[in-house]
Amino acid sequence: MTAAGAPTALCDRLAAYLTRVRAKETAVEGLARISGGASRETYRFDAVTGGRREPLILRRDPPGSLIETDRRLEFLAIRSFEGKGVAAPRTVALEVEGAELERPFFIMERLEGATGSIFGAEPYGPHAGVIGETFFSMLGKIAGESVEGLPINEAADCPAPADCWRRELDYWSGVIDADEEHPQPIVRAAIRRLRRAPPPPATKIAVVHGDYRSGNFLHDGQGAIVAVLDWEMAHLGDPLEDLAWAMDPLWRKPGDARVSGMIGEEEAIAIWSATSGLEVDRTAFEWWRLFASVKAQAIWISSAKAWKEGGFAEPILAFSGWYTARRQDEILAHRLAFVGGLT
Amino acid sequence: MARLGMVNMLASLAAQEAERGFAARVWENEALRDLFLEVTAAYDEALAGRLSGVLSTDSSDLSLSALDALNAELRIVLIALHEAVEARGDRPLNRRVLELYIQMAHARRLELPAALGG
Repeated sequence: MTAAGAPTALCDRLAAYLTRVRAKETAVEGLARISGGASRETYRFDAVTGGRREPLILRRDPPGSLIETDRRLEFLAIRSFEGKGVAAPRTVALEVEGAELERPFFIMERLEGATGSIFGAEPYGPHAGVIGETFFSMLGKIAGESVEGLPINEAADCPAPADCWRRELDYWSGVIDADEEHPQPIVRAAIRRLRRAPPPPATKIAVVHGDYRSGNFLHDGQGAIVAVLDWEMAHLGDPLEDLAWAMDPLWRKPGDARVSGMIGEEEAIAIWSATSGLEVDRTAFEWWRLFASVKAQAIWISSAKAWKEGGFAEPILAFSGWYTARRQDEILAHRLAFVGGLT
Repeated sequence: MARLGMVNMLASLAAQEAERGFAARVWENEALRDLFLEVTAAYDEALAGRLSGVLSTDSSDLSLSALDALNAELRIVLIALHEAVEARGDRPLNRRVLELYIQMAHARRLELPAALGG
């Protein structure tokens, strides 16, 4: 075994793969598994080719996974934004058949930086304001990009503007139907509310990152965002979905009015709107805000189930299915009261 | 170290659950039974039957598993009741259910350790 539990066989196979595709002897050094994303094996390593050292990340499907479309979507979503000012890592290789590594994988540039603690009081210290401005400016760039000709178009379904909400709500309410282990009246009420009062059609179809939030980007400690990560839920849809997700109160300390401990909500919306060139329809935005909490709760419900079915082995799943699920219920209950005219 | 920190955090959550979890479950079950008792007569026969049926469930067992099992029954009926309230446009009762949701979520609140800024 190499450091942190990466098997030697994987190291050798990865070196063989890179040597083959580069047609030049390539060594793999420092291969180590790290946490990253919700459903992929993620490894960091250096590829050394002809004396040139290249810091890289390997993302490989877990055993038994046959979801090659998802892998390709993630890769193509990242590739869609290379060099476009949103700190997307440079993509290196995609192998949907698995090649020497047996399972589908891709390789991308490794960027170094720090993540902010999602639940911390001051996750970005004195740089919170400037990081927040960049964070929402980058999201605005993603929303404002025309999807025509982007690599993600090769693999992503393009919904009609009037169908974005239904497609997402059907999917995530289906996840709750499948994974709920204890009746959840609060999220059920939210789902009914969303179906009763759908939003207006999307004003444009954009790339939706799907998990754009605090904790899913790296910063350099000096106020600069160096990498936007975790594109595995990327799709085409209503860009307000990402804005609402990024602003969910779960990503901030309870009682903190700032988005993710960074900047105020109205400032965030103004920056996003100015960068994307899109107006924020407040009725639609409120729909997507409630939806964001439903989607999040679906993920936490699935986490609780996965924790039990996985033999109680992964503490992060327990945390997600326990603390975050309870916190999300509070957020949902208050938002239901808000849209119901109680507060 | 990250994994150890996560395990420590789970231990903190478990301690809170041991301290307050039983009381939260007993409170929620009683709150739901009180609500059902009050509104049974106002709703149609089928729903009233479900409401009164769950009211007759034995609630003397205070083990965690028994409290959760009863809570699951009560919550299923609460979902049906709220659907009926929405269909009827019963605004006062809808308001009461929404307020109850806030209370239910608050009763089960967990706090993060102070080291995390909680």
